[in-house]
Amino acid sequence: MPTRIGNTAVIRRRPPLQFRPGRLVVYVLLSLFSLSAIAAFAWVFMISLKSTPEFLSTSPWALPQKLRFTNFALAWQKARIGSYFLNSIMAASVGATVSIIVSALAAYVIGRIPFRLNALLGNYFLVGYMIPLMLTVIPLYFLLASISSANAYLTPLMIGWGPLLGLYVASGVPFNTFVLRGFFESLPTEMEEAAAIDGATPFRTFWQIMLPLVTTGLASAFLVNFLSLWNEFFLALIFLKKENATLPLGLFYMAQRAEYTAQWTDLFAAVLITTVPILIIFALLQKQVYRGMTQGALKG
Amino acid sequence: MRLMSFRGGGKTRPLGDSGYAHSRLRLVVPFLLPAFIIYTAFSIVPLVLTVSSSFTNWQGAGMNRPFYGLRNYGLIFMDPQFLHALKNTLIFAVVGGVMVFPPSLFIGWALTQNIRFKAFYRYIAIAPLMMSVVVVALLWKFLYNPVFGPINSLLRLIGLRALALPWLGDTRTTLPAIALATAWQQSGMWILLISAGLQRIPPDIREAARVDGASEWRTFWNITMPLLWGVLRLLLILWIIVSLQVFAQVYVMVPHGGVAASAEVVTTLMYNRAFQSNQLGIATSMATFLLVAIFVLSLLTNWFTKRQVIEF
Repeated sequence: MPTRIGNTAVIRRRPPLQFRPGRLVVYVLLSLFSLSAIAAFAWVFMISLKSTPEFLSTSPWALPQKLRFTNFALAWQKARIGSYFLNSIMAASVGATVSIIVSALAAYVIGRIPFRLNALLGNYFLVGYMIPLMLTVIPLYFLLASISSANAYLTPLMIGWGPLLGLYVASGVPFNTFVLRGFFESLPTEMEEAAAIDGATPFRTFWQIMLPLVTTGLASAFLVNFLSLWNEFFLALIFLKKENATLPLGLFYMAQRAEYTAQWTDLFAAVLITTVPILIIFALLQKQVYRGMTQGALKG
Repeated sequence: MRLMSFRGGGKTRPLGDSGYAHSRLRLVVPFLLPAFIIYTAFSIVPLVLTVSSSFTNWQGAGMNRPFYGLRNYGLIFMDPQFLHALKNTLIFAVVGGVMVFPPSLFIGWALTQNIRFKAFYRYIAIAPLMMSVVVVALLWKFLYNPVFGPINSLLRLIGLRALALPWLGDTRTTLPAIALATAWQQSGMWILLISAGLQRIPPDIREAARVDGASEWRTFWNITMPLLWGVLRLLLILWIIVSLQVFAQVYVMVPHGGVAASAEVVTTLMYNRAFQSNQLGIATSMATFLLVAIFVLSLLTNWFTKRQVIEF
């Protein structure tokens, strides 16, 4: 079976399975590791089916008395996980889409059009890899807050979703330009020449010939961006209000409340609501995710 | 294998038709501008603001940033809370690194072997990486819970009552417990890249060693490991970058840095200085120090591990 990781296909000759004691150790360790992860999630699921009094009075290992999904409904509506869910979908898809679009345009120019500042700009976009936004973003927040308190009409742009989405888009630019540039560079020059001879404008060549050829790159970069924005916590913590949170942030505030109210069971349900969609997407798109994540790191 | 580096438009040869090549240049500005503006405004400006604010006595209200020279740096290095947080951050990086490295290497290697259910094991191993840090932190917080957490119930069940510690409530165990949760999630990245790196090694090299009579262990240690070195040093650098700026795990698992600030790290302290006491100058000098530390440590690691990479 050909195993594909990244861009390399390795055809492996399979020797017939034979019993070796080392093999057994491998199986035992892998199974223990997997089973404990599965058990942890099964436990979370079990608790999410219990009512609060039932959870507080029975052993943590006891099976729920009956299948009740009220906690999921509670979490979705009363704890507002439903609206956080929509916010997260919005933030992750807008952030990833815009980031891919602006990065694809920039990557095309950097990868294919020789001009004077080409190398300099390529490196400029790469610097972002070395700047963790988490360490640099706090003064930006205070700057924007002071601009907005002096100019009330600018507030919607300075506070909340505006700067957060800007940061989300910018955070993807180094990875996206780096990966997409590689894709554009690998396209043959002949395609462009043929389009030029047929009289296509440079923009049309890009839009109708070159861009469709890098769809795989666009898709896997989108996936990586979407996943990391879906899970993003710190920037949301700084820029969003409690009422308007994304899923990770909403979960955090819900967990804070649970410390005082002991309403743990709907929190467990909320954890599952947040995680299960991602686990399903990951199961369906495993290959694309692997490709996307290894592309950025293992090049050359 | 090379670390990410850039050669400007190197592979593209100029087009023969100079009219087209010339008109193509008109794309340069409009195509670059959107990315340039957004990236500059939201990645470079914050960096400049952070570094410049670290030399001021900014209190956060308005943009009045009186120049303060290097005094913030003097202050943070005399602040026992900062030194404690810095020590915790380093302990976290080392302990977490020790926790993440051996299991990931083993699983990453096992996933390239000829075993059954490989896709299943790989899915389970890499899935944590797909989850939000908040989810992972909460999951482990539940697991560690002294009242209803399964870890302590299990320990009591098998008679190890003495080991059933309040993991996140004991000054000795808080930091390693958080490091373990982080290592579990990060191991996804390590396993993914280690097994991808192993797949890239041509199978005939190992085959040749085996034919020459080398044991599996020897083949792994003397052939595979040196060939994998490029990936391992990349992962080491990634771990330095990730672990020194750990925030969410600590912030979610132990409010206020844990009992007696036993898990206070530089980022959580920075966050408090900025948002609780409005000491932006202090907070940004901590951030700048950490930025420089991450940068220098990454460069040093890169440099010290360079010579041993074998090209293949």
